[in-house]
Amino acid sequence: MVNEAEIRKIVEAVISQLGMGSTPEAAAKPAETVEKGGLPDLAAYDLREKVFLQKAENPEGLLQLKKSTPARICVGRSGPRPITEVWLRFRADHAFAKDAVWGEVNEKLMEELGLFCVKTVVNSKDEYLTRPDLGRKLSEEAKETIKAKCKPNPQVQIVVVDGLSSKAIEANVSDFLPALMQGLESHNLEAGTPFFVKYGRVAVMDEIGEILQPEVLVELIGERPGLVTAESMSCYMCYKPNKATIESDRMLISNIYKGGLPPAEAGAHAASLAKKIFDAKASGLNLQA
Amino acid sequence: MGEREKQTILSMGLDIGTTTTIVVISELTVKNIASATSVPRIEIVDKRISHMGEVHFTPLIGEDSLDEDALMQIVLEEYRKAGVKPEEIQSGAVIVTGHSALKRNAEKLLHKLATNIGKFVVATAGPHLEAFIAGRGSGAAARSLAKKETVANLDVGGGTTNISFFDNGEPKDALAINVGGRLLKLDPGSGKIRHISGPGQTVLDSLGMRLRAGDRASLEELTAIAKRLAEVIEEVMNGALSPLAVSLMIGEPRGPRVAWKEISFSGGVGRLVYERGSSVSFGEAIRYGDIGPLLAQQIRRTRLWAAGNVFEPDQTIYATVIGAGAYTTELSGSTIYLSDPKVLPLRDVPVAKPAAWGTPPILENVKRAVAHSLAILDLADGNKNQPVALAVDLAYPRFGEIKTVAAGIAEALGETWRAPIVIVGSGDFGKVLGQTLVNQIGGRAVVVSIDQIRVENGDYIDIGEPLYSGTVVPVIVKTLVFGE
Repeated sequence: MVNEAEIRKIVEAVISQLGMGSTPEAAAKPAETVEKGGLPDLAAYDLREKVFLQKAENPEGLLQLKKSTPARICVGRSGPRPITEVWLRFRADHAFAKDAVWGEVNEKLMEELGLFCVKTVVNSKDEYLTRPDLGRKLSEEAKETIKAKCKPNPQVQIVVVDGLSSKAIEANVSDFLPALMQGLESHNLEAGTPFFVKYGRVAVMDEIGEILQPEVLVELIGERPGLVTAESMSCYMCYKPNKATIESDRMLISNIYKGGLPPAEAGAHAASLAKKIFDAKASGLNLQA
Repeated sequence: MGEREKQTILSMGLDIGTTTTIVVISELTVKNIASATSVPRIEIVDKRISHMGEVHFTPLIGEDSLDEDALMQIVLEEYRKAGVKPEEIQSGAVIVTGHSALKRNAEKLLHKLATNIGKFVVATAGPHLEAFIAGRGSGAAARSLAKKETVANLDVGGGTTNISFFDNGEPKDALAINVGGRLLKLDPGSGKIRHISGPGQTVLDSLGMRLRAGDRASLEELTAIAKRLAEVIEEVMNGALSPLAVSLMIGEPRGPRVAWKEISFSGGVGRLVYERGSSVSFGEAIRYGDIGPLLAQQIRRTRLWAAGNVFEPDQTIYATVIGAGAYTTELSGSTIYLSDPKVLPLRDVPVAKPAAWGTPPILENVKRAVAHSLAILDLADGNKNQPVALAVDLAYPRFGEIKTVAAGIAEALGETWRAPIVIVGSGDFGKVLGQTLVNQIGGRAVVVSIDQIRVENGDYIDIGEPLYSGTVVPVIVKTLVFGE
């Protein structure tokens, strides 16, 4: 049997041969100085435009493959591990997604778009994330404000909800809303008073439906961020949402962001869909059937 | 409502060449591939050749005129065999290839024919478009996509050789030469020359041969002619044009603008290229009454062939007709705007592509660019009542930009414009731009706004009747000029 001391010796020999010994000189070497202007932005470029594979036979062909998917392909490797830049970019995208979840929508921006702001019964982001049920209930104050400020029984009620991505709302609502309004107008549909709901989930529309009794409700909400984008927004639509509404009554336009369905086009499409729901007096699977 | 179901488009291809005429019927299956409650995404999910017609000799009266009745008979007979009625044909293309005199005469006839052989069948022409159609139909385009490389397809027919280059499935360049197997027509029994075409005479002159119609040519003489023609193809591919090659080229005499990795041959002569046989007897060489087999043999002796990067495509003699029938129709994006669907189908709508107006667009610049692009087509004042297709490029369509672009277009069109306006967007903004434009111009003109289609100046487009209750339209883009 080999004893412990012998094993130690062997390991030390191997390490020194590999040149991996932790010598004081190596440890003392200063980190590369940061150039003026700070560190490079890890998320500055479009991942689909970069191939990390070294010595690829047909890099152009790989770029074409990358265009067909946002997945992290052609990223290369260093031994069994990802290469540093790819790993850091992964971490950066993850951080971006977390920021989108934890961040709060700039209410000033909502006011500029003509939306007043109300809140659910949720009091903090922590509570919001851990209690999805509370994100569906409006606070008493919110109910009062909505009753006081909104036109009741509108043909179409528009609501913006933060959901799981504040960034999605900030990036898309300003292009989506005017296109939706223009579309509704051209279909001769009258929109009620739009507003913003903080700490809301999709089904918060049911309570709003009970209060305002709209024919069609259009709800914009931030989607759960992924590693491809943190800016994707959804548009849920429902005919007369109420406490008895079930998920299959809702319709959805998803993937609304710069790299998916552009918000302006999505707004125009949502207007046509609202018209369809209005005319059919049904939404979701009831409309598709 | 039927919106989840598959729909089929029956598409016909008719290839009228210098030598042969072929009809192919294909079925394009379109389907909404998005889930039930999301934005529709309608795509062509399947292409199936449902009837492959026989190879007929092109019915001619004299040398340059199509025999209308005989051609009609061929088409209707093939329809009968395929079990389809003319009124069931919804899309497709008629391609007249080969020499120009034949084309001139054919065009008049085809417009007449189009009403009898199915709606939305277009008569189209242009050697560069033909080249792309053949390259798609042969399978060369698909191969370039699969292998992510540049592939050249040489469609060698009776009157012309149409060369197309595809990189990653996309057309990159096209060339056309008056080189084909039927520049000389022979009597299949005796070998007596029946007719020498214009380009055929050019070749004879450059070789110092004094053959005339009625003469009996020897195998050596015919081989020498075929050899020279094969060399011309090689010269064009290498970009080193002899004076003969210069005079035989259709369009600007030049070599390819792209480097290629692989070559395929299609067309009637293209098919013979792959029929490897040793030396041919005189009788075999002239079995089709032309020099096609000899040209094929000589092509095999060029360095193009010897370089070893030649592959045999899926289709040779059927390449053009399959391309015309199955690969000319594409679908618009699935969020589009039609202010009046009844205006469709629209045929042969000229494309005006305004010069870049900068980002973000400024009203004055958009107006000027659009007005200029209309003026180039001589449509500036709109008094011709000619529908026009405006190509619009927007990297990321912000709503504010859409409004500016719509306002610029409306101002450029002016108060008097009444003809239908087709907006062809490259990105995904057809619906919002169409709606905004209608807001600007009111009911003065019909607006058809489609997207996810790329067009260039000089193109013409056909837009078919909408599918899926107005969600998408089939579109055929006809590129007549290339690389200008």
